[in-house]
Amino acid sequence: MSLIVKILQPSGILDSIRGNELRREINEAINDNRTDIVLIDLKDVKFIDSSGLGTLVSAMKIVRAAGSQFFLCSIDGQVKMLFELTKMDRVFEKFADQDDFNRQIVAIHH
Amino acid sequence: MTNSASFPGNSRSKLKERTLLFRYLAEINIIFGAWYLQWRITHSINFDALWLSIPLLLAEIYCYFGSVIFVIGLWRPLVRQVKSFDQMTPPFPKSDWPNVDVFVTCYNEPLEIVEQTAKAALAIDYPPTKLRVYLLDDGDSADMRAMTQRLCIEDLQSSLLQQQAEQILTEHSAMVARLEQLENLTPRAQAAEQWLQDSLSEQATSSDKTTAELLKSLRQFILWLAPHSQTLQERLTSERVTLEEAIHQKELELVELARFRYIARPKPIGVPHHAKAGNLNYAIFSGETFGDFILTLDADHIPKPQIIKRILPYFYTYNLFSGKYEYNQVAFVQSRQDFYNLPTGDPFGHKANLFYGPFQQGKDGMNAAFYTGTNAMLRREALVSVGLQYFADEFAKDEKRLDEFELIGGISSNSITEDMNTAMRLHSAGWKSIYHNEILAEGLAPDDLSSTLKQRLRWAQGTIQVLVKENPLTKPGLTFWQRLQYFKTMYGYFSGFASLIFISCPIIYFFTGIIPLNTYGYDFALHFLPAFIMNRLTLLAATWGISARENWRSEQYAIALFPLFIQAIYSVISGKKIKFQVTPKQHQHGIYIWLLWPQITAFVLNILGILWSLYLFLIGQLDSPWIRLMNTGWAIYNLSLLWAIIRASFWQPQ
Repeated sequence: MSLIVKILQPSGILDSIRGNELRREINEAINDNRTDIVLIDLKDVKFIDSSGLGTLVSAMKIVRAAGSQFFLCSIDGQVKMLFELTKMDRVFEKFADQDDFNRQIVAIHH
Repeated sequence: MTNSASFPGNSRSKLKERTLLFRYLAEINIIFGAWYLQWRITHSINFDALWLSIPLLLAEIYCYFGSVIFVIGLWRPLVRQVKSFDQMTPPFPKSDWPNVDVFVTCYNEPLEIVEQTAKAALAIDYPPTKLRVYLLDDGDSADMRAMTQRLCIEDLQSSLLQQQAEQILTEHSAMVARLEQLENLTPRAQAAEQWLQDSLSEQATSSDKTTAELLKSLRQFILWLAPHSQTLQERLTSERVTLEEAIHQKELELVELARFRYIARPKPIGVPHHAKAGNLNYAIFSGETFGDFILTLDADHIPKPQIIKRILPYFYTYNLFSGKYEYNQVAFVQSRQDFYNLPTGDPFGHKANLFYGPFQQGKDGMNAAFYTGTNAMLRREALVSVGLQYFADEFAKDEKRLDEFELIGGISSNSITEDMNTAMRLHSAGWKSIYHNEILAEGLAPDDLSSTLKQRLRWAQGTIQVLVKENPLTKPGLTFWQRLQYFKTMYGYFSGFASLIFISCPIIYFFTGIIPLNTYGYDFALHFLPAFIMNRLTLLAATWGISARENWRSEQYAIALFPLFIQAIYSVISGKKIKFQVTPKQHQHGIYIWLLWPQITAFVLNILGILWSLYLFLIGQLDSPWIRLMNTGWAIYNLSLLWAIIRASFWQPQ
C-alpha cells in the first residue's frame, strides 16, 4: 500500500488571492482522487501576508476533514517571521525541506 | 469638522479647547472630594446603623474613585483634522488606491432598511473597480438574496459603471482586433520563415540568396526583440497565447464589475456559530472578499458618500525619504455614530454625544479609541494577524477548534460585545487606533423600552464578560493609559450597586427614621457642598458643547438602569450562559412597565415617604425638620432621575 502524496509549490507572493487559488487546487485534489498527504513547499514564496496564512489554515482544515494529512516545508525568511509572529508555527506540522519530508515520512511509512 | 483644510501634512491633531480649564477644575475637584471623604470616614459614620452607613460610605468611595478615573480618562481629548484621500499632498497615485470592502451585517432586519443602507454603500464616492459591497446575511433570507441581485444589476446599469464597462469593452475590442491582425499575419510569416529555410540551402539561386540574407537579418532582429523564442513560429504562438490570456482577463474584468454580493454563511449543526463575530469572520476568510480595508456597517447605518475618502488617509503615512506612501500601524479608525430617528426629548437616552465626543476623544488621546462595531474601517492585515495569534492559542488547547477556524480567526468571539474585545486585542498586539469625530453614517436607535433595555443589557454583559475573561488590567501588551480607559468602562457598570444604595437611603429614613450619617448639620454642609459644586463644575467643563438636556438625560439613565447593571454583573459572574440578542430595529409594540418593577417600587416608596413627611409637617408633628428636609430633597432628586425611564415605558411613537 503506497501513500499518495500531492505536492504544491506556490511561488512569489502568497496573498489572499494566490492563497485562495491554492486552496481551490487542494480542494479539487482532495475531491477528485484519493490523496493521503498534501505537502506545500514554500521555498519559492518570497512574501506571505496574514490573509495568505489564513488560506493555508483553511486548506489544512479541508485536508484534515477528508482524513488526510497536511504538511508544510521550506519555511524561511519573511515567511518564517510571519509564522512566528502569528504563532502559526505551532499550528502546522512542518519539515525543513522536501528531502527532510521524504526521509521522515518514508521512515514512518516503513 | 470641515473638508477644506490647508495645513502641511495630511492630518493633524491638537488638544480640545478648554482642556486646560477642565484639568484645572478637575484637580480641585479631586482635592475637595478627598477632603470630603476623609471627613466622612473619620467624623460621620453612624455607628448605631453600620448596616446602612458602611454601604453608603462604600458607595461614595466607589463614586469618588469613579470620578478620578473619569477625570483621567478625559485628560487628553484630541481633536483631529484630516484631508480627504483625493486631496492629500503629495497626491496618492490613483493606480495604487487600495481595494476597500464594505461589509453590511444583517440578521432579519426589515428589507427596506437594509436596502437603503446597501444603496448608500454602492453610492460611496470611491473608484468603482476598487470598491466592493457585501451583504452578510446571518438570517440567510431568500428575499435579501433577491434584493442583492436586483440592486447589483441596477448598480451595473448606473452611468458610472456603464462608463467603466464601455472602457473595458473598448480595450477588449482593441485586443480582439490585434488578435485578428496577428492571425492574418501568421500564415504569411510562417511561409516567410519556411522560404528562408529553403533559400539558405545549396540549391537556391544567387538572387534568392541575397534576399534571403536580408530576410535572415530581419528575422534575427525580430527574435532579438523577444530573447526567449528560437523561431518565428514559437514567437507567433507565444504572442497569441499572451493575447488570448489578456482578452480572457478583460472579460473577467467585465464580470468583476458586479460590486454588490451576497454572503450567507453555512451554519452546520454541532459547530457553534459565534453570532456577529462568526458572520464577519466567515466573510473575511471565505475567499470571496479580498479588500485591504474593511468598512463594517450595521444593517441600519446609512453611510455618506465621502465616508471612505475621509477615513482612509489615517492608514497611510508619507515617507519623505522614500517618496512613497506607506502603511502605518493604524489598525482601525472609528467614526462617530448618530441617529436619524430620535424622537423629540430623546425619551430612551440614546443620544451619545458624551461618548462620541469627549470620551472617545479622550481615549483617542491615549491610543485607546474603541471600535464600536459600525461606521469604522479596519485594516484586514491587522485583524487577521492578531486573529491568527488567538486562534493558535485556542488550537493549542483543543485541536478540534480547527473546524471553527473561519468563524473565530479574526474578530473576537469571546464576548457578546465582540467589537470592544477585538479593539482590546489589537491594542495589546501593538496596533494603533484613531477616532474620527465626523458624522459619516447615521443609523436607527431603538424606539421602545424593550429593545433599548435589550441593547443596554448586551453592552453591560459583554463588557463584564471582557473584564472577567480578558482583564484589561492584567492583559499583556496594553499601556497603562489604555488599561485605564478599558477599565473605566467596566468600572462604570458597578455603579448599579451604588445607585441602589443612594436611592434606598431616603426611603429607609422615611420608613424607619434611621440615617446613615450621624450628622446632617453644618459640618456636613461645609464638606459636602464644595465637593458637590466642584464636581458639577468639572462635569460642565468636560461636557461643554453638549446640551444640558442631553447631559441630564444621560445622568438619568446612568442611575435608573441600576437593576440592569446589577443583573448583568450577576449573570456574567454566576457563569450562566449568555446569548447574543440582536437589537430589534423595528418598534416593538407594547407597554413595558412591568420590566421596571425595581424602579417603580423605588419611585412609589419615595413618593409615599415625601407625602408622609408632608402630612407630619401639616399636622405640626415634624421631628428633626432639617434632616427631614434634606431627605425630602434627596428623594425628589431621585424621583426626577427615575422618571425618565418610567415615562419611556409607556411612550408611544406619534
